[in-house]
Amino acid sequence: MQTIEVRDVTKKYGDQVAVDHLTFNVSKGEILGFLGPNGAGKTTTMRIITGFLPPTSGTVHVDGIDVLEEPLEVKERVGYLPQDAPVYPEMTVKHYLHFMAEMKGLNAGQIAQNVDRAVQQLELQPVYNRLCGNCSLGYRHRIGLAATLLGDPPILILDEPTSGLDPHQRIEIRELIRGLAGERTVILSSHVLPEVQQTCERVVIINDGRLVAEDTPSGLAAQLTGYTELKLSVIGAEDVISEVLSAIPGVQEVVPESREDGTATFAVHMSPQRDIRADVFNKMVENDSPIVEMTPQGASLEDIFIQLTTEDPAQEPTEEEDSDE
Amino acid sequence: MNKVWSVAKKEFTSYLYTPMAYALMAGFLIISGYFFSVSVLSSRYASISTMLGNAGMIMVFVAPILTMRLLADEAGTGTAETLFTTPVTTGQVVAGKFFGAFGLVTLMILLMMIYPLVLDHFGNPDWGVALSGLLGFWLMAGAFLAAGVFTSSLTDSQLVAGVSGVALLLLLWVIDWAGGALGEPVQSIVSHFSVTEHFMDFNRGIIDTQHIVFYATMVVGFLFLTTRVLDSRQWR
Repeated sequence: MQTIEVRDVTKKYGDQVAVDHLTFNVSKGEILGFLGPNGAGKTTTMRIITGFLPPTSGTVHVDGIDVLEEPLEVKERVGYLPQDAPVYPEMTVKHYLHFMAEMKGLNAGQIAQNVDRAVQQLELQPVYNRLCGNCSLGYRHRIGLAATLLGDPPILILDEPTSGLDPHQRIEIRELIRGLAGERTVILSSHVLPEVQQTCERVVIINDGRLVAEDTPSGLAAQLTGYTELKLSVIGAEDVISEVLSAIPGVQEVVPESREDGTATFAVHMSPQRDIRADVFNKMVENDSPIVEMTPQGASLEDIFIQLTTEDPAQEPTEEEDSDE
Repeated sequence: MNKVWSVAKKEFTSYLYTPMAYALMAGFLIISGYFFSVSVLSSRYASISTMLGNAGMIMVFVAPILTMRLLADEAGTGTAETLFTTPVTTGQVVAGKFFGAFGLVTLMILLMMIYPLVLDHFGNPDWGVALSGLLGFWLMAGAFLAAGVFTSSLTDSQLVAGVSGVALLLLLWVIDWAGGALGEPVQSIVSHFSVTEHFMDFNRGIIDTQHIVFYATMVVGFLFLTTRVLDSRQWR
């Protein structure tokens, strides 16, 4: 059952194409990671799904309802946390949460219950009577997230929910999001890649408004690299060991990395179908070269991301890609 | 309707949490108090008509300053995104914002009741004329606020919203001067659009439905235009 269906969506601002014929689905109960460099069209796509922006062409269905035709029906089902979690600075946290609950159409009894629960869940008690404008960024994110959870929407769309938070707060928010999953469908955009790797079951990567990859994080890794890497440090002569290693069946390539104090380090590329670690151990014993380190290296989402979103894959990524919008 | 009330309540309490509203109310009451004292002491008439006529001019500035942040700030700070992705219609938001500001102005006008009460203590004012004048003033202020809400929807910047609101209201304030210069038939057409012209009768103690309809139409018209602007706007 598809909860969110994005079909051939294009969004243009004047001549500039922000989203270019984008199509993807999200199933019920899934946590989808939405990745892309800054300016790739993540926020625009999320705004279109939530009904905040109309697409130039294409359709979005949420629970089978067309966002353009019945925006209010869709908005009732979706909890949306915009980037930077904007809140009204001149309202107290209490007033803000009550106001947002009223906007979601809850009745008086539900409001009290929902606000209480959200305050507990996000530990907002210390700032409950403070003005939102006087709260720290971390708290403002939590206030925004609390407001998103009011009314228990079955679908959550979170635009960079952890940006600007310290590592401790990140972990908390991540735990919370994982705790929310199961019953809810979540789309989560981020450019903090390890976070997506840990939180999401499936990843959609977009670049320049176009879909470039869609798979599980581990599926993407295998699909993209075609080999698994083994980091190996051995005491002995580099050229001899390199030769011995290359002879082992399943080894595709041996890349010498460094040598110091008689220890040679290699990156050994091996086919994913075959585990060669036992063979490597035996050969090194035969060769009388003690192994001091052997670590399998999975391709990280970071590598995949850079490879997919860099125009020329041979070129090293430049600094601009990391800079903010 | 509940959501209109929620937005109105939110805007009204937000005013009470910011110093701007207090500064405006104090400034307005000081200036209108000055007009009141000067006109009563110099004319020796127990009437607030002169004061109300002059205070209308002050309202041309007060109303846009009150309304300038209502929608411009939502766009500027990004809260529009949070607000308009809840199941609420643009019309509900716009109406709520207007009534929030109108609530504050109503409070201000209730405080102006002090002037006829002072007159009543020392003399014998015509309460009918005073109350109809205040009613007219209240309706006119509502129309001004609606125009201010409209200019606030045109921009992300509070300052631009405020300045263009004042400009729009000043134009409506002086539009009948064109009639004086150009003669008939321009004069009678233009005087229909003059916000001052319609206020005069109230200030003389005449409550004419024609004038009530004029101000109500202005409110509804400007609020309608505001929803059109917001709906067609490409939020970025």
